[in-house]
Amino acid sequence: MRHVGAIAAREVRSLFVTPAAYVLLAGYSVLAGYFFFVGLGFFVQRVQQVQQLQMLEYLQRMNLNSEVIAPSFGSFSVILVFLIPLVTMRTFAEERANGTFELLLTSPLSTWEIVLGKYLGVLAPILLLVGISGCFPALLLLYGNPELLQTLAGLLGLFCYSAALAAIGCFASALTQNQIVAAVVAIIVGLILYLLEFLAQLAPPGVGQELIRYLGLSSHFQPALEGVVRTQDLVYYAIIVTFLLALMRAAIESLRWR
Amino acid sequence: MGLLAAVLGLVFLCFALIALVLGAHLWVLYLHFGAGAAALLFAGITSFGELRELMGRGSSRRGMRSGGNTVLQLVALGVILGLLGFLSVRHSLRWDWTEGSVHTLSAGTLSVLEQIPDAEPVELLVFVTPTLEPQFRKLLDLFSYETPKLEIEYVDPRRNPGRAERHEVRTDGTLIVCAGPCETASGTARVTAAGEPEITRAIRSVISEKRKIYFVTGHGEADIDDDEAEGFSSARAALRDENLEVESLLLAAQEEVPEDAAALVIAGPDRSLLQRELGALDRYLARGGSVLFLVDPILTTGLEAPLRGWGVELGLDLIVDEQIQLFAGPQIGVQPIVNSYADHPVTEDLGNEPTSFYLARSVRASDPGDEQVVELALTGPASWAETDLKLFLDEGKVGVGPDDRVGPVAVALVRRLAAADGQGKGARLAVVGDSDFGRNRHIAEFYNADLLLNLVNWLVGDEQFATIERNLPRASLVALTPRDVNNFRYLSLFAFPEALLVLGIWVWWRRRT
Repeated sequence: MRHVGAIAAREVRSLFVTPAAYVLLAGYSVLAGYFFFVGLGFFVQRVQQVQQLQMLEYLQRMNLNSEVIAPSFGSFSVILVFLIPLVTMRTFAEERANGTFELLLTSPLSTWEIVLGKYLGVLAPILLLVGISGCFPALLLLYGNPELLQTLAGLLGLFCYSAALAAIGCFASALTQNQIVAAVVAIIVGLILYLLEFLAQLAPPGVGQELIRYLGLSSHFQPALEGVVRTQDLVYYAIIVTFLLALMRAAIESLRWR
Repeated sequence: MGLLAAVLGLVFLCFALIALVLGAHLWVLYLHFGAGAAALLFAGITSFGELRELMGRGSSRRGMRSGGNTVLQLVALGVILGLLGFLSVRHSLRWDWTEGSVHTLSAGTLSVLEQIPDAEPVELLVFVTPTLEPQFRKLLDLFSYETPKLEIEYVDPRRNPGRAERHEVRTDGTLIVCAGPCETASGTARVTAAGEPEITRAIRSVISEKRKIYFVTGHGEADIDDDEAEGFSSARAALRDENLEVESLLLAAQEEVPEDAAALVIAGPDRSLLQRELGALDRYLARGGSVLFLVDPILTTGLEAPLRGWGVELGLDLIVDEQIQLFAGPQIGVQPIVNSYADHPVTEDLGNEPTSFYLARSVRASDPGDEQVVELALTGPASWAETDLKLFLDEGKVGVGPDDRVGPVAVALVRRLAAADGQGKGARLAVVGDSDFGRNRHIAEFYNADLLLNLVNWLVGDEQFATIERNLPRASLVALTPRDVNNFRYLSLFAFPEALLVLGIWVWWRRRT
């Protein structure tokens, strides 16, 4: 476990000593802030209209979480499909391109330790991204009364979802020396998994449709946005991450055989 | 060449799988599967020599053995994880973290679900197109999470038109709720506006004992088998969808009201009831019966006196109301539209939704202090009960006279009658000063059907029919002044990104130096 920690710490350090990480975080912050602010603007406008029309009953049902925070987190999830591969693309591909990966492979570290260390190292910037996402609802606490637990459920969902995307990105990075190829592959796979929910609607009802729906990333993310935490979603993310880590290990093991 | 064939083979097999999942034509599936298998076979044949050579090398043999082990491990892991996923879906736990528990079924619904018998689960056939399916699935998942005694099947009416026709489905998003399998069930209910309360009501109606409603005939009442504009066939269909049995009853041919009558409906008689019929009604009410009177104005029905005896005064008048007409502005009319209701189970789910009446008379308590009477539906303040019917009928004129009651005027009321022995079940009476609102011509207007169904449900003793409401979210708003908006915009769009960029530049500068 000590080795895993050391690799993760090295990964985090190597990421944050380059300005690229900060540019990515700042870019995400601008985009996320824009979506959040636009959503909030519409909400404030609607509240004013409802107040003018004196629709008090409707006013009592207006909810910041369901009308501002959850849709904003939904928008963030689309941004993350494109952004997370940019964070993860260098994980293995850079080392392989620089020729430093052989050093890791010939070290006394096990493949599992390398894979886990790299993945945990990537989770640190992911946590930062989720933290930035949480800053907007936190600001809202100053001006309104959003529901705290529902917001936390949304953030938990966003983290699990991002962790799954990070695993996809790391696996793509383990397959190639080219960082661009790794990022593109991860974005495509992430998008496909994101859109599977919609594809399931086209499929005929039955086991096939249920399977497609289950594999889709968004169908497991949506309940958390609405404030519902389900074990089946947590298990889904754990399965995705575990299987991709196993695939990563296999991909790295295959380098040892060659 | 062999490698190309192998890759192509895998691609064809992947698309064969996709075709299988999407339910494509069989020839598409066979074509892809055949092409994939052929390509892989070709790859195997052309690479056989190469493979043999590789196997002969020691290091490659080791590599292949390791690779084989890894593949086996991955397959085993995939199977285990797949099983875990399957079990996690079948036995999922959930926690609703919203303050209003909006994603949890209400206590009323849970108590209904508990009443479903173990021996006969309730089946729900959901006729819904793929576009609407997710929203139905989201709601119905809450039901299936709470009880295993609910079997839900989604049917796409476009893919299964025969099945939709068999269940007379005309609207996308129709739910057929059955006690037991729908193909053989005796009690079914239909829900076309699916929300938690509506589905719960349907479930309760199919699991509860089937009750019989009699529509009295013989005095020019509306006919439940009449499909024409003046008929009550739509009302009968709506009542049957609530799992109520509906039959006609020639009361004059009976000594007493049948024992199995959960309620009687006297819908728009245009001549008087016989004295012995009124006697039968009186005895029926004395033993705790329920009667709905829909009595039109102007006609002499002879019901005024007996209803007075049961505590209800039928106005000898006609309600005149101000109507807003498109382009014409406010007009005086005889089609009052009501959107003001008493706080009562019958009208609880109507909120401020309108109901419309056509040529209606007023109703009120005989004794103004009678607390058993609840005036359910009230016309607007611009209306009045016109008593000079002669002037209206002869000259078509109306005007507020000294004997006229100025609005709001009640057009519907309910009254509970104490049991004759003071202990048994009390009778229930509902009186509406109009029958047209329930006739085929008008029942689909506004919320007329809801009012009629709620009245009948209340009469048959379904106390909670309208009290099931879904959990609502806690109101949470934001109060932003223009200055706050600016601050918020600055913090969201500028402060965070700016701080991060400055940090990045600092890191870059430090490394450079």
